[in-house]
Amino acid sequence: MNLTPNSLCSSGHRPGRRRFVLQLMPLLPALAAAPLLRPLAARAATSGSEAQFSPWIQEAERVLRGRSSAAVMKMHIQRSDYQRSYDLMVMSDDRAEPGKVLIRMLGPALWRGNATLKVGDRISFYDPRSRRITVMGNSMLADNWMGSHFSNDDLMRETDLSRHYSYELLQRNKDRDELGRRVELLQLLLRPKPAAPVAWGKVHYQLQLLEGSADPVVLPLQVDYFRRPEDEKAQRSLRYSQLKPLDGRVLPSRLTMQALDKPGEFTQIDYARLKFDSDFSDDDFSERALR
Amino acid sequence: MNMLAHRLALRNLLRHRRRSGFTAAIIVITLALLTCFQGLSDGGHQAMIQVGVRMGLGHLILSQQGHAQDPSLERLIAQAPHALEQSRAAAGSLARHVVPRLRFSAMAQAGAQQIAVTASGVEPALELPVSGIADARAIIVGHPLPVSTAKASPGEAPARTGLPPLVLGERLAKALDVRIGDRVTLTVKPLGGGEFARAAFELHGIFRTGIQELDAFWVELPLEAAQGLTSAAQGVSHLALYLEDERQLAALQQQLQPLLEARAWEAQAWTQAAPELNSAVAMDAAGMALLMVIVIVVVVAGILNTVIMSVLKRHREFGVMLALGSSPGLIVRVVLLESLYLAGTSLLLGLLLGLAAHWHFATEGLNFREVFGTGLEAGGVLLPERFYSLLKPLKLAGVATLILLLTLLVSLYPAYKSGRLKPIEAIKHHA
Amino acid sequence: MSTIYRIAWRNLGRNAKRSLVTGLGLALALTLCMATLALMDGLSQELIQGTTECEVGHVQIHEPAYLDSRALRRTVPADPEALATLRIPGVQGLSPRLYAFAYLSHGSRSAGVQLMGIDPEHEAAVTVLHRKLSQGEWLAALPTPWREAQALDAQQQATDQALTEAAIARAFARLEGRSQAASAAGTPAQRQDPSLALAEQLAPGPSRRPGVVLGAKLAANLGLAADAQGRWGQTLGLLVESAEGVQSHLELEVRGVLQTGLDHQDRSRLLLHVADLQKMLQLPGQAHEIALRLAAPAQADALSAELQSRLGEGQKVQSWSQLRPDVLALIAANRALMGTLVFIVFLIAGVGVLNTMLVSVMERQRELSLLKALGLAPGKVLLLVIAETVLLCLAGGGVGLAAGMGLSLWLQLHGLDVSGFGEFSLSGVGMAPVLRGQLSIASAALPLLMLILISLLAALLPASWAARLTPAAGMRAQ
Repeated sequence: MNLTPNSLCSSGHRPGRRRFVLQLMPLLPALAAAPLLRPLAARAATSGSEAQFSPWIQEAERVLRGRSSAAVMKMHIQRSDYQRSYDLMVMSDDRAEPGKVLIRMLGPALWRGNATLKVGDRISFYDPRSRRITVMGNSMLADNWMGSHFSNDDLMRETDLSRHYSYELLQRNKDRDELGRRVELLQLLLRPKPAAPVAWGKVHYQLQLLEGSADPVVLPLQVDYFRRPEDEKAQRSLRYSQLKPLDGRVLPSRLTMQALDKPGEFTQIDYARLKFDSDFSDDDFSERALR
Repeated sequence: MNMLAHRLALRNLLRHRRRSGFTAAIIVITLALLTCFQGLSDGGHQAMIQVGVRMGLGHLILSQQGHAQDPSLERLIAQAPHALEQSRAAAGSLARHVVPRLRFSAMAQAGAQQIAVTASGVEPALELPVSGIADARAIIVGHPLPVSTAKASPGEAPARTGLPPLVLGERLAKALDVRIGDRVTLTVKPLGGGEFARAAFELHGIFRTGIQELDAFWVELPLEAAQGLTSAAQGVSHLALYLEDERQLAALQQQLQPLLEARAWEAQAWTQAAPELNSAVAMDAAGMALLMVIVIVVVVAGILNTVIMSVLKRHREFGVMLALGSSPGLIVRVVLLESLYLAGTSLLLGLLLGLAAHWHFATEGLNFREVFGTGLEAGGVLLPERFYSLLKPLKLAGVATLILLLTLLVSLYPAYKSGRLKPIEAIKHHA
Repeated sequence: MSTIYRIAWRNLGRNAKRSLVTGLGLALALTLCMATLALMDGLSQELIQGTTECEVGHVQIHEPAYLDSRALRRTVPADPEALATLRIPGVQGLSPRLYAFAYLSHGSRSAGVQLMGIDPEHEAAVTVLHRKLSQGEWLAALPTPWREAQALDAQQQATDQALTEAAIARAFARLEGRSQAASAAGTPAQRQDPSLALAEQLAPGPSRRPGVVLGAKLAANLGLAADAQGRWGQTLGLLVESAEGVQSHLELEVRGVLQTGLDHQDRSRLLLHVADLQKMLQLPGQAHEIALRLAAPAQADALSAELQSRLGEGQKVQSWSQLRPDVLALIAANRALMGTLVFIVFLIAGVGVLNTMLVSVMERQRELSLLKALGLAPGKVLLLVIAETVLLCLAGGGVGLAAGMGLSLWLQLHGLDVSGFGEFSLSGVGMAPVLRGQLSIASAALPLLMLILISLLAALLPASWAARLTPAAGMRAQ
């Protein structure tokens, strides 16, 4: 039978997002302030209020990434038959087309020096032991990045939670966050639009709105991914925690992706350092930079 | 003089009605059986080939040059509808079906599970009669891809979400943990490079072919959706031709040659795509041919036996004729003519009977399971339900003529011997 | 009683020609039937063999969920002890195999490939894969020398930690310093030396380039060809991820080119020594698949059930018919076809025998009537006919049996060369196509019994009818 299940596959960037964000940037503070001014009745849920929630979700999703960023993080993977820990540095530059990502492994020994570069749809891989760069033009990478519970999409691409879904506000209440600050917790229900090319049937998104500050006002708290719209139990759950100052902003420094269908399995990312808006040059994302 | 021999021959035959009738009956039956043998042998091979072709790609595959060597979206047959028309026209009545397909690698994703698969974009209406996957027997849950895109006809489930439909294998469904109605996305690297394209589909049906790779790594979707996803415009990977009678493969290839040259296509026959099957069938055919030869020998031997017997018994009679002044030549002619008439009429009747039986098996076919009872559940959808008798009239006529000639040949010696009889001895010794 | 037989025998002798013709007819029919059965069996075997010996083998063992997922970590033990336990009576050969997907490059061309690790010696005992080599050389019997992996001791682990921290510190510095590439700590190459040494210890590379055999189309697509002297030896780059998640780049050396004739194999398959692949994938002593070859293919189902009960739940044992139901369908179709044809052949033979016997008996009416006139009781007349028939059967049957067995034996040992018949390049490799027969007790006994039965029936009817005739009428009939 003529089958070649190529299982080296790679994901891609979605163009056009930056322009969208740039247009809405000036509106964000206004939008953030709006709930405080509007009467209670008007705060009632309206489904499909894309203009209102989509940018918030986008901001939440980009909170650790920005337009360009460099981060050093530790990833711990816990699976049923093994566990691994990696230290890595991730640089991303989404300011122009095509988006670029460079991931360099810092440890442990077997991985140290490995680097993956993604420019548009071109993926290059560097192996320090052979000092060889392999360009994988048209093949496909395996789904999970290095055996973690994050997909290649998650690490190398921006998510599409702000685009292909319709949004409905489920709950809104006031609370205090980890650091004791006053926040508004929003629970949003995301349902995929009819022809949306997404894998999830339903997503619950918990946002945290910080009242009036210069910091990013929207922080993600927890995202639950459901297989089917009617499911009660989520299949994956991503929790943001450990609020810390990172590059001058208070951001969640820990991401924990739990596989709820496989009890005990999770992947945890801890940001050690993060820097936004580095002025990267093209050279920083070249094959020379891989070495 | 000539007429005398004929009259004598016929009268002899009619005089010994029982013996003649008996001999004739023998010849009729064996020839009828021989016809069945030939017809079922060829038909059986056709069935065997169908087993392979059904799960494979068809009898003849037309693709862009270079595609067979390195199948990718780079080398597609452009403007499929036009190409389809051209191929249909060129193939004429030889090809029963011409089916377009677009094949590519993709990542199928549902929820957190993601698996690399081979995707096949098909036209459900055209695919249904030829594919083992689209076969209703193969779909174990849900429905096959709907034939009409406009509205669901009765018996087909309407799409729940308005997404294009998709069917996949049983094991893949288990690995992806999907149910009918679930959303499945396919991610591909589109033609012309660029970012990966992704689209969502609704799971319409789950099939089980029994072939592991298909059940675990195969998805089928409508051709249009596949073309849209891969940005292939109106391109297809190949056009598959299914023949009415697989023995006409060479003729079809010949007929398509000008079209292939004009469009820079190449054709791959199933014999190249499934060489194991091809060799197996060829070996089998050779075996059958050998058997056929042996069977003909036996049939002729039977005829010989009868002829010799009848001649041996009539030495006295011949002796009397010779004594009364008939020429030896007359005797020889009479014996030969008797054989000829007997064999000729019997052959004719045998052929008619054989053809009647062939016609029955050609239309009704022999049902595998009924005849051989054993649990031929093997391969599920792969096994055709019945196999049909196939006859080449020329071949049959050839065999009949051969038997007639051989009959004459074996009658020569006894005829000659009869002519050479010494009348007195004949009368004396063969009372 | 013996008188009857003496008379019967003498009767046969007296009508020598008739007896001979009849006897020969019987013999011929018997030979035909025996040869048919032998040939059918032979063809059946050939079909099974041809389709299983190419790659599938007769029985395969996998980890239960392996085939559906092709997950690297789902392995079965394939160390010498494990393989030894699989050698139960009936198993002729076994071959452990490993599979993985990887990325191959040569110059500017590259392709996703399927790696298949085999042990050349073991594999030769199970399949004929080695015969599909079209150019160059096959895999070497011995694996590439490979250093043993060693765990890090405490001090090395501490070093590893320190290196990680240093790398993190450098990364921090980089973050701050933006586009500062080099730092005081030396060039990247120098810095990585101690790290590489550790990595090399944990997952060492081979001492020389492992040899590989590529599928023909893969070689063509990568632009590989033999040099003027027909030698290969080109270097290929391979990017592969091990079961531990380590991605590494390796260099390979081309040894030869394989042509199976099967499209997807020739286009994406790369063969190497299983021990080499075990090292690459960090799966020591393990395999994804163990293929077995049996002495008696017909025992495949029974044997796989037995192995399954011995191995328990952890491994899944399947026979070729379960793995390749398409092949089974083919064989079933073939058997059905052959059954039908054998049936027809037997009918023809039976009719032939019937013809012979009836004719011979009918011709003897006069004789039998004479005997009656001389005083032989009707019952005795019948007995006489039966006796003659039996003797004739024995004689003709004996000759037929001998000839049939001889023919079947010849077919089995020597076979009939049918190369003039059509194209016989099995999977692109030229083969000498020979029709072989398969002799068995059944193929001899069945036709013989059938023959005797028909003969007796054929003789009895007209004989009993003749026995009831009045002598005068019988003698007049002619």
